[in-house]
Amino acid sequence: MEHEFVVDNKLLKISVEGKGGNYVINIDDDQYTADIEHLSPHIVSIKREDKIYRVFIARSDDGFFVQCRGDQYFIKDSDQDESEVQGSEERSREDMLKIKSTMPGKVIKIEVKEKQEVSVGQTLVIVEAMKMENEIKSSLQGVVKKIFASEGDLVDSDNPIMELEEKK
Amino acid sequence: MFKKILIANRGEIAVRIIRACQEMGISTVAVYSEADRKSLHVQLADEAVCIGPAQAVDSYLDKDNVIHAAKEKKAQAIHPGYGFLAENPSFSLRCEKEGIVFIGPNSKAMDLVGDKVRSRQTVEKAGVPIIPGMKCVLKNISEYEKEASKIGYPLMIKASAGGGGKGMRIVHSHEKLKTGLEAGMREAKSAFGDESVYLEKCIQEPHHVEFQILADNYGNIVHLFERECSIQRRHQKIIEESPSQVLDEDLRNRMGEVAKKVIQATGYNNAGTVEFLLDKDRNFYFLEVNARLQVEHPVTELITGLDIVQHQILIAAGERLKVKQDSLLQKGHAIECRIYAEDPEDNFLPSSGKILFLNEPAGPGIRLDSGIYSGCEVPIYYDPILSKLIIWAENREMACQRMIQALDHYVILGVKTSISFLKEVISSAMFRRGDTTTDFIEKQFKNGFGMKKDDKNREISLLAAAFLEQTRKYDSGIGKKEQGERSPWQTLGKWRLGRSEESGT
Repeated sequence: MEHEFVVDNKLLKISVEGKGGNYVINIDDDQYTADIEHLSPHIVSIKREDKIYRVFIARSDDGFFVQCRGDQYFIKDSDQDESEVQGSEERSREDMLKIKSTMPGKVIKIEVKEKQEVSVGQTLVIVEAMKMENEIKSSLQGVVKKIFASEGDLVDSDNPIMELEEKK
Repeated sequence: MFKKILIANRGEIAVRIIRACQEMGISTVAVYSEADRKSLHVQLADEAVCIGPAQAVDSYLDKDNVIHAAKEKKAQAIHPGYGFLAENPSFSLRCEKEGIVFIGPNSKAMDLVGDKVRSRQTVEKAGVPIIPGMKCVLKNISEYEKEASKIGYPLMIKASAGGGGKGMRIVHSHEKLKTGLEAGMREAKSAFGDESVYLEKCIQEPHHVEFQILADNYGNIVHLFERECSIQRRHQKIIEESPSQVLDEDLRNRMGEVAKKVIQATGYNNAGTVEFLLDKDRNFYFLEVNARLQVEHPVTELITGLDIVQHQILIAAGERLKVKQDSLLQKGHAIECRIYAEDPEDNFLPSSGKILFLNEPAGPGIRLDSGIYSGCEVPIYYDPILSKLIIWAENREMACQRMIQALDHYVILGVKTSISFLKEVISSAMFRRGDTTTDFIEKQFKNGFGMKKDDKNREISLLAAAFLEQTRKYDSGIGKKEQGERSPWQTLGKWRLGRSEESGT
């Protein structure tokens, strides 16, 4: 069976074939054999070339949180992400124009007005979350096209607080 | 002694206090907001009362609701923990009026030390060295500008009612003063309900050294040595240790005696902390008194062997201090790492969500004060501290090694945490040298921090994910046809637990 994952923005094809406790695993073009035991719902023991790894793993909506020997990774499902990986450049452009809070919080102060020109690094809006103020800054040169939120509003991380227009 | 105590807090500190009460045979009442019904502190207490909606202003900060809960449950005392109502003099005064013992300093002393301007004037009169700066709060920006040019840049803006780095900012130039003041006032207002701020000279490359104090109601005062709290991000401590690497016996004794003098001059009782800044030339300046049990108190507990929370309760109940200064010893070395739900790779932004899996480190010299469990939610409404990992070992080097191992074995899946970042700090040569000034993070990580990860670990993690994905799809029926194997439970047919065929009746 073949699976597709995204790690560090790279798409990887992985197949697993099991024989007893031993597995043959292909990651892209590399092949590995490993002895894998499922110890408990969130703990997997992997033995490879006599080295033992205790791996902690939990499933979220869109991938796996995995920790191995102190290093933690988020291994994303590829399904919804293939377009994202390829179109990441366009997407980040769009991210720069649609100003969103990185986490749910309250708008404390809006520092700009509609139609105002903004420069790189200029503070656009201040959002408070978990008692800390976070300044959201512009990452491009442009003009404020539309402001959707007002001071005091609660905002989430999905809907934009304001939209910028790039100035060429 | 009290029969019942209400704990007016949440998270790891509420858990810590509940445990102390249980050891002393005191019954506990937890309070919680609507967002915290499933939080750990609620599960550990004997009784629990909901005190309002998720927003702290309407629950943990609502004095009426907390007092009402205490009276309804007939609690004789309230332990405020840190944050929330811990340093609110009107709350402790209210407790005094309602006949409930507030486990902390008397309201008069709290009022005095909570006012950073007035407290400095008081201790300065007693001969305690203070940082040059303004001693009053001004009304308008232009007055601040005038004062600022007198003090000189860089300078610090600090909240008069402050603490915990909130409302605090460094200003490097005249142009940045106005926006800095505005932001500082707003943050002060939202964190403490009081927007007054003051200015102070910024001591560069300072060490932050603080002394833990216990003072009973009869004038007996002891200090439990220092904690060095120089590793900070956004002016909030993240790593604390004791003993400090910069103090010698003589300086330690002198600072300890000055700390006791501060407590005496301000009429302070119960547990408290006197903070100092130590400059490059080993001059020390009084910074402030923290009128509460501090986040980093376990560091002192591990090196002295005293239980500070239990002492707080004993003092509040009117008992005399039995410990004497001469009999106190600083033994071995202790380090604390604060584990926050935040993303060190994205500007330490708070992270919230569900903790999908938790595996905690254990072993000799490892203490974990935690407020989380596998499956719990980390709400967005409160300070993002999850737990504190505190290590004790014979010496600093061994404590560092033990801390790195413990951090490696600390697994929190589902929310971003500061664990890998803390590991990098402790492993750094600069930290190992004891070169821990308060601008450590900026100096050490001026090019950002790419967490160094092992390729092999990444590979193994992928194997585990692929393996689990296979199992998952198999379980949900997708892969069943390809895989001939079935588990014994599927092939067994009808079965019954604990009975053999022959014995059947």
